[in-house]
Amino acid sequence: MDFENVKAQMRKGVLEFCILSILSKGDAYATDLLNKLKESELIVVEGTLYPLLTRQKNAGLLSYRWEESTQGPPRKYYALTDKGREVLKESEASWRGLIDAVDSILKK
Amino acid sequence: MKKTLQIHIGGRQIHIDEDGYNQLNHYLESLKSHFAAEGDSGKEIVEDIEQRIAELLENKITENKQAISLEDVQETIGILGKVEDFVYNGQSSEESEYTHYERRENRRFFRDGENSYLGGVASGLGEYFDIDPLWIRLAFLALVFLKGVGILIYAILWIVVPKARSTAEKLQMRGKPVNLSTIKDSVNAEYDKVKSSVSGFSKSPAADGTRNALENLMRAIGLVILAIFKFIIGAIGVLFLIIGAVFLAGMIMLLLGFTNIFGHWHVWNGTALPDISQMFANSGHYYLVLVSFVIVVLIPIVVLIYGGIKILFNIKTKHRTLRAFVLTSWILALILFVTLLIVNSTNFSVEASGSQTATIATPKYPKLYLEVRDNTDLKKMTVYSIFDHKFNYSELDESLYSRPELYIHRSEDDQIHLNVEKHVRNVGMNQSQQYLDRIEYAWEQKDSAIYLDRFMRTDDEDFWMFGEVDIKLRIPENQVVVITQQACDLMNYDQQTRYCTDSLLSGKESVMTADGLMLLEKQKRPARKNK
Repeated sequence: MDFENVKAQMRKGVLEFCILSILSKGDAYATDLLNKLKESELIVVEGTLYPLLTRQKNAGLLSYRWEESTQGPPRKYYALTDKGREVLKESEASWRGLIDAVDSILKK
Repeated sequence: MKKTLQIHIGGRQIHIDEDGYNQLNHYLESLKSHFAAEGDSGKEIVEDIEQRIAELLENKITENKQAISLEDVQETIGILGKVEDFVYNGQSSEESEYTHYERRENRRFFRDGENSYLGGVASGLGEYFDIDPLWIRLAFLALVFLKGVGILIYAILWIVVPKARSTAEKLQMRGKPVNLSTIKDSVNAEYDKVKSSVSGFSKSPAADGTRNALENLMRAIGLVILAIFKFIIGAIGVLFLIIGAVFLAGMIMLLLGFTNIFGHWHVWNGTALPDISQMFANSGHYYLVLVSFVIVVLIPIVVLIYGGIKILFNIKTKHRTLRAFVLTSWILALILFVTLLIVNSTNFSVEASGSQTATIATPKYPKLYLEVRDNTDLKKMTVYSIFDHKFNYSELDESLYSRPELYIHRSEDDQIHLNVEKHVRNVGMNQSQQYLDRIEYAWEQKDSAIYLDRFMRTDDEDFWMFGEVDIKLRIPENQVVVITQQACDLMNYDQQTRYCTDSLLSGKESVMTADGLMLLEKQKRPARKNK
């Protein structure tokens, strides 16, 4: 089994989950998201974020709008869709379940 | 002094040093080709990243520093990460398909120890060319039959080519598949690049343009080489298909031949291929031989066609069990076929002969005429040869005709004896008489003349018994004989040379003496002298 791949898949899943939960607290553009994710050291290279955003947008979890900016060109602001909120709720539940399950195993 | 360019990226105008620009451009190209496979989404991703780059670059601009340097670009690329670092980019299972095409240039030929039967040469070659190693194994096997060339090549490759040991080597061995989508990706990236460099040509200084053009040219040459490589692979696929189809057609013709549609005979370039199945018709293993033969021949043909299709359409399948099954059944069929051949070959060595003798009373006929009559239409016959064995095939009755051999000797008594001897080979132990009867040969005596059939006849499926007829004519001493030219032609080689060279005896009166035939006039002359 390709362990690197497992790790990558895990991080990808967690990252997608985190994007959704950041956006649930308010709309944001890519740089906002990057700053938050980098704060919590969830992301190493910024390039990773963009394919994920596009993928989630294509999956109907996110929508975006262009907003004028005081500095520089208009920015793409992402917002959660209803479907996105739903997926987030489910993800939260399964995340907690997973944490508990893993914890209980690790503690034994 | 440094040249500075003004570029438009992510909705911002940015001044950038030339070396920085080149690096940035290269980076963006790699992104484009990486995401090209995702179509519009890919473009969107690249645009978003461009915007972020512009933002990051703009932060580098200060009062004292108006242009972006190479270092700034490198730092920015470090923040965003190289394409290879975008580990989780969407469809992870297919991500190896999309990785940057430069990886292919690193592909190397290693022996694959993980999927090897012997030394891993075939599976290594398979990895290198992205072909199922089964075809390569079959090719080697085919080459083995070609005077063992396959063994030699295999041995050399085994010795010369290193085995992939480290993970890096294994990755290098696999490289990246050359398939339509990757070619499309690189072509698309190339197109975009050319387009952007053309539009950038007016903006950027001429020197930069020519440099880009040179770079483009190099890339284009690379693409052409790639296309040629792809074409060769495709051509191999087509070749496999054609060879397979030809063999399949031949096979079908052969099988149809079993059912007599082509009249048992498969004529090719003046050489006839008789119905092989008849060789086994009487061995009791007819169907076993037939089935095993069909399997032995059919499997490589199907495999060839399948392989051709796979190469042409770049299908990747690995049915290990199916492959093992096919290989095993082929080997089993081959073993069965060879065994049957060996078993039956003991039958073939059986020779049988039988003879019928007729006696003709001499006193009535002081002069015997030996003539030949035609027992089939010569115009309807075609001469074929196989294994140096010449025979005539008549379309008229789909039969084989060959010449009997005539031997003329002195009779022990004062009678004329005509003995027809039939010989057959390659028949079963207990069936010889039955086969002897299948040879048709007739002659007739009318008054003083003996008419010999010009040909013996057999059914064409009886080819393999190589039927022969010897006519032994015994003539008493002093009997006068007239041998026609045609009868001379039937004589066995030795007698023909002796009696018929320069039409010595043909058409003339000759007489049987203690030393064989002699011209009557010659024989009389010394007789007169004696008197």
